[in-house]
Amino acid sequence: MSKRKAETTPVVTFTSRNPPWTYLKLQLIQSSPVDPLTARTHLTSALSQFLGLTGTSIAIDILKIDSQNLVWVRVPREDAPGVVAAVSSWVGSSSGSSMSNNTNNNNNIAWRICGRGNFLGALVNGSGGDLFVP
Amino acid sequence: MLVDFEDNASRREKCYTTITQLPAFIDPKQPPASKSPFTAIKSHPFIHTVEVILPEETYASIKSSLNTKIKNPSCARVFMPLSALIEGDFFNAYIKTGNILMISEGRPGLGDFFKLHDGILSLELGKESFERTGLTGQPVRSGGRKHAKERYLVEINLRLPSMLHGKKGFERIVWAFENVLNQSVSWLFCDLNFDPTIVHDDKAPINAHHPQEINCEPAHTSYEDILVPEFQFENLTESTPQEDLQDHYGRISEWLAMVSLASPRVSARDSVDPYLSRYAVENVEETSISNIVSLKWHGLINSQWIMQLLICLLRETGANSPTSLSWFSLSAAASGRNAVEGKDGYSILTVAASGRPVNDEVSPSLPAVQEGDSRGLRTARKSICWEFVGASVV
Repeated sequence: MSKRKAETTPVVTFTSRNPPWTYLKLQLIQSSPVDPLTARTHLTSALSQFLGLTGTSIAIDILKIDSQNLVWVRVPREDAPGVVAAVSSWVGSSSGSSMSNNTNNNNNIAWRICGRGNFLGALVNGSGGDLFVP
Repeated sequence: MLVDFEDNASRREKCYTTITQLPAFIDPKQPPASKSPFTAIKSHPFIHTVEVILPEETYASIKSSLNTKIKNPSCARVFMPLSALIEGDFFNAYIKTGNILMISEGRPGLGDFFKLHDGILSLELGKESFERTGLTGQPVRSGGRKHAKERYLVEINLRLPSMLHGKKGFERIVWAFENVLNQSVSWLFCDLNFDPTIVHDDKAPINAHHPQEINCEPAHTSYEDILVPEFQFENLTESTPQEDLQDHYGRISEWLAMVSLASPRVSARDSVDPYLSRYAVENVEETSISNIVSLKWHGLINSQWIMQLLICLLRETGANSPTSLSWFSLSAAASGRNAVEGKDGYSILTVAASGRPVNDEVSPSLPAVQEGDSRGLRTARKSICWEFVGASVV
């Protein structure tokens, strides 16, 4: 019996410290909803402003965009600090002819960083802070 | 690396993965709490979201028994000062004799943050309020300057026999709660001894503080035509290079999170331009397409409830699943994460260990697989458990 017990359950454990990607949960601060192509354009604009041509070559994968302008992206882990710095310091304007006839009360747009991690599973459900709001 | 920036926070992030064979029989009254994946559930007492993802067919077959066996978790939001915890009925009924779980609003590492678990009250305080309370505590890491002691943790076991009104040490705590930490704060409250079958008792001590009940009905979402990757790692032996394992199980964990995120990228119908995303489910040839159901509970959820849910799922899918393709995942997200190397939560994936015929070269190190195989496909199941540490979430 004891021999059989020793044979069962080969447990494999390992620790990942350097996965290939970093995931960012970003929010675009603007009133109108954003589509993937515009989001990508705004990201490229932020990256090129901060890092020049090097910035535009960073690979960004847009994983999901929801109705609150939350944009989930995936970037190579090594490039993540650069992307975070570029995105958080950027202020752009929602240019385009359709927008120009709006009253120019506030055409500035910006990115807000809501979450950041190397494992998407740790980020998707947030921190649970909304439970405290009545 | 295109840009050379220092990043310390990212280096502390980790994911612990454990792959193990599940026992064929689990006693719901005595779950094997010292074994993975049950250890992961035990080590996360404060959970705010639990999500179960499973194929539609599996869900259809277990739906009715899941509904009858699993009651929704109950919890409430309440606004009260710390001193109310150690007063009269609340103290006697919930802390001394009962068992409750409480967590205050706020973030560890920022401001004052309190939680109560198993009768132990933990106060995480800034240096200034810690010194004013006059209580004893330990410095904790805050993620700021390395050797400066800026944050302190005070842990008080309120179930000790010395914790009684009139005793000297206890009076000091009372004084600190009445004179220093006297602000009312938002709490989430969960009574672990609460029995929903008993008629609601208006005299429960919590009602003095006008709790607001939080609806913990599961949110049910169906996803159609989802690309499901092959979960099994072929030829898993002790000599398999760790990089391969990390890569494979990292992708599966990513895929589970993508489904949870409701990302269009995992849908078979997605046709996104590579300029926008190059995410792809691993090995497109080996993926299958199926409809998936997600159930999500949101509230302050205790580990006993999650344990019951996992055991219920294991029992139901084990008995009824007609095919060896049956799988399910259970993910949980922690609240009140520590500022430094905080536990973020975990994902558990259960798959049939012998999804395909076991051939000879696979098995020398996995005798249990063969054993399960000879007895019938359904008994042998593997669990993969990912535990996440150290992400930054707002």
